Amino acid sequence: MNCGEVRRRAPLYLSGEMEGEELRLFSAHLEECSACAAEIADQWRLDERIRATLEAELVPVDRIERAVRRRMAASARRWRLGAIAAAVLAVAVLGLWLLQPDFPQAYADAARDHRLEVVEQQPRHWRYGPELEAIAAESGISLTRAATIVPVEYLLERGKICRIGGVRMLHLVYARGSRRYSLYLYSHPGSRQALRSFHSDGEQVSGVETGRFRVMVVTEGAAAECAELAQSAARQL
Amino acid sequence: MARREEAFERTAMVHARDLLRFARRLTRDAAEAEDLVQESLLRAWRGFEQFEPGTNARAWLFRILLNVLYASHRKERPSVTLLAAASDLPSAGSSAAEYVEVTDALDRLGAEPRAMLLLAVLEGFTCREIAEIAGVPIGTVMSRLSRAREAMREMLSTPARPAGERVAR
Repeated sequence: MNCGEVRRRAPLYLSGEMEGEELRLFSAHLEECSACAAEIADQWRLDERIRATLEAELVPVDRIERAVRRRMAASARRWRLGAIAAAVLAVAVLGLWLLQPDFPQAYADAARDHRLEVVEQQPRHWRYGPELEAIAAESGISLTRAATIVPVEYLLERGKICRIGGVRMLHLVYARGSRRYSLYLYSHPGSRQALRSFHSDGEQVSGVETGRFRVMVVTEGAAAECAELAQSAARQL
Repeated sequence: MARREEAFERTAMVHARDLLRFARRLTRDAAEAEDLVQESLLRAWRGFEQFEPGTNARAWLFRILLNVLYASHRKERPSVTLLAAASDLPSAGSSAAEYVEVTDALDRLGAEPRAMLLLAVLEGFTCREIAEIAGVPIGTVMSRLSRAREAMREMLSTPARPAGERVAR
C-alpha cells in the first residue's frame, strides 16, 4: 500500500471498518512511513477534539420528546377510533346481511320477472285451468287454495313453475279487470317475517314469510293494494 | 401504552437526543433543529410499519432526518444565529473558547461535508452506513470525509477568535 492509497482509505481506518488483509497492509505502511503515521494521528486527534467538544454540549431534548409523544397519542387515539368505527360499521353491515340474506334481491328479481312475463308478455309456457292443479300441488297447495288466497274480486288466471335467483317457485297470475297481479310462492320453512314492501322501477313488491311459505306479490298498482294482497295470501296459507 | 407506542419508544425515541445534537450542528439554528427532529420523529412514527425490526434503527432515523431537511429546501443561513443561550454551552470537559472555536470551524464547512463529518465523528457511523444514510456511494463518503477533515485542521490551526465574538447578538 502506498501513501496515496493510505490517505484515500484513511476514513475506513478511522471508522474501524477496515479489516483483514487491508488493515494489515495499512498498519504495516504506518509503521514504515512517519509522514502517513503523523497524518493519521492528526486526523485521529481532530476527531477526538470534535467529539469531546460536541458531546459536552447540553441538548435540551425534553420539549421535543413531549411534543412527539403528544402527537403519537393523538394519532393512536384517532387510529383506535377509526378502527372501532370501521368494526361497528362492518358488524352492522354483516348483521343486516345475515338478517336479510335475500332482501331486496329476491324482491327485485320477482319484480323483473313480473315485468318480462306479465307486463311485456314475453312468451312463456303458462298453465291454465286443470293444468294448474299439478303444479300447484307440487308447491304444496291445492288449486282451490291457490284460487282463494286472494280476495274474491281477484281471479286466478294462469300459472307456471319458475326459477328466480336459483329458487324454484310457483308463479300465479291473478286478474282484476284489465290489471294483472303476480304472486310468487315457495316453501320456506322455519322463517317468519312480517310484511316488507319494496319499490322497483314501476313495480311494487310486498312479501311475507309465514313460517311455511314465502309469498311475494308484484303489481304495477298502489303500494297499499300490493301489501293487502300479500297479507291476504299469507293469512290464508 | 399500546404495543406500537412501546416499540417506537424503544426503537426511535431513545435516539431523540442524538438526532437533536446532530440537527443543531447541521442547521446551526436551535429552533429549526427542534422542528426538524420533531418532524423526523413523527414521520418515523407514521411510517413505523415500514421499519424492519432488527435493522439499523439509528441509521433509518438519521436518513429520515436528512430527507426531511432536504425536502424543506432551506437555504444555508449565516452562522451567527446559533445557540447563544448560556445553557447551551458545554457544562464540563471543554472550555467555552474551545467550544466556540470547534463549532465555528464546523459551521464554515459546507452543509454536506459537515453532515458527513458529524455522522462519522460525533454519531459514530461507519462510512458504509453514511453512504446508506446520505444515499451516495461509499467512495464519495470517503473523499468528502477526507476533505472535511483537512479543511477542519486548516481552520483549527489558525488562532481562535475570542469566545464572546461569535455568540454575541
